[in-house]
Amino acid sequence: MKKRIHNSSRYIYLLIAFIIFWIVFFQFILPSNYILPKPYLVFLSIGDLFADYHLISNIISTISVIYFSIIAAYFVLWVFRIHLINGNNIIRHSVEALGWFAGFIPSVLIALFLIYWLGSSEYVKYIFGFFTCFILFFIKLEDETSKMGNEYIDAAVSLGANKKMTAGKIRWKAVEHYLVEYIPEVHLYLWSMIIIIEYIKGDSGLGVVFRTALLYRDLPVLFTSALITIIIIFAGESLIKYFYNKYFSRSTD
Amino acid sequence: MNNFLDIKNIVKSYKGEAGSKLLVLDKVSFSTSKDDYITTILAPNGSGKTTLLKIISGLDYDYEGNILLSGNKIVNKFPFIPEKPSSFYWLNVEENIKTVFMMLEESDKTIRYKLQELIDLTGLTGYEKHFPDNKSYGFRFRISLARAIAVSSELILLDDPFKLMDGETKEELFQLIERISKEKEIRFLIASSNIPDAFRLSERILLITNNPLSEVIDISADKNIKGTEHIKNQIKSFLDNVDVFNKTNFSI
Repeated sequence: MKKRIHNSSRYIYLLIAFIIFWIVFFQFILPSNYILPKPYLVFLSIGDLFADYHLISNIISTISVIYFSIIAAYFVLWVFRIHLINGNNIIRHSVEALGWFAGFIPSVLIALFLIYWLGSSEYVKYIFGFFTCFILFFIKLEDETSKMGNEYIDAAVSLGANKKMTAGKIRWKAVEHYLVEYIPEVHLYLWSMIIIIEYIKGDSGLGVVFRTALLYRDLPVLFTSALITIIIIFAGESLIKYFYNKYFSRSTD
Repeated sequence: MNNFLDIKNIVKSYKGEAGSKLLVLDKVSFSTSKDDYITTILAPNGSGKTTLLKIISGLDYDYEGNILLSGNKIVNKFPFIPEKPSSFYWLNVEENIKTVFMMLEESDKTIRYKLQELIDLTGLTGYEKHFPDNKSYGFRFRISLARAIAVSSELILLDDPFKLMDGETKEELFQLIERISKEKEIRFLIASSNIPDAFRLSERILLITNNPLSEVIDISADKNIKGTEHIKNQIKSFLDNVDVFNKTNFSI
């Protein structure tokens, strides 16, 4: 039997039920209101989203930041895994200090400073996304390796493992699946933060779509873009979970 | 000279509070011969057996004294099987053993041959793809044992590994250890607080007493006289006659 992350497919039924409820109540029963738009207005807004709100290019901009950040941060963590796991080196101390420092500052404040320093540069999102993911992964790595029992290390060292082997083949391997299991959480957090940054920065990304829709008090567009964002996040998370189940799930036979 | 392992005047202390020193081992000395395939160090729980075993295995090198193997100073480490299960839970049986071969940088051909031999030897045949998670302590011990044998060491150290096992599992593993020790010419040094286990399994029993551990008393059972009754009598006479500093810390 394999330990798997279960896909939330049962929630799809809940979503379908909500959509039916929304169509029936907001299209046919309730009068126009500011809570949810009428379904036919949402349908009409799709055209506007593509033509006026440049939905495709904005989606690509947000998605590329999020997935680049996760992949790059994980890759860098993997490259430096031995230095990060084995204590007492400059790389580990620097990352530790960065993680400690970031723990007292709301991420959005760091984002504000990056926007101030780098202005309208597209790199702001990438820099923020990468460092956020990297620090989150590092904290998780620290947490999981510290929980690991000494008996594994004692046994491995007595069998001839040196410091490098212990870090790379024992400690890293033991926590690797916890790190991948953690990606969905990082993924959702990053989506929230990147949309906020895009909203503040106001030049590209889904955050800009939300900003413009709010500016024009365009409820159908706001609703449609929220729905599209949720679907993309759901698809991304499902892909991550599929990837985890296929390559990293730990058997509990 | 028929000595196999010579432990000479081992002194070990830990740093306590406010710069004080906590002496755990105070000039512990003993020897085992090449005929002692299974030796048990019998001492109460929490008395420093694990410390002693870690020093012998080479995991702890901050001590005073000398350790000799067949008259020579030890340069390598000896496989150490801790009290808690140490088989890597994120790897299956095969991968657990393979990891050791990979650390030893063995060729693929050698790995294939030796791997199957070890799996068969330790009774893990048919379980190659099984993971240690949720498996019995006995199963996990077999994996640890297979890995320890993979190193081709003359000595394997076991730190109270049978503590959490039931009687039937223990008996199976005792027989396995007895067989492996003779077939592979491997000596086992076991730390235990369990008196019946020590008398059942060992050719040599060394009781280490006092606090800190210092005095070593050889209380080996006569292996020529077999039978439960004999072992019971041995234990009884041991408990009646030996002044152990805290008898309640032994498992009887």
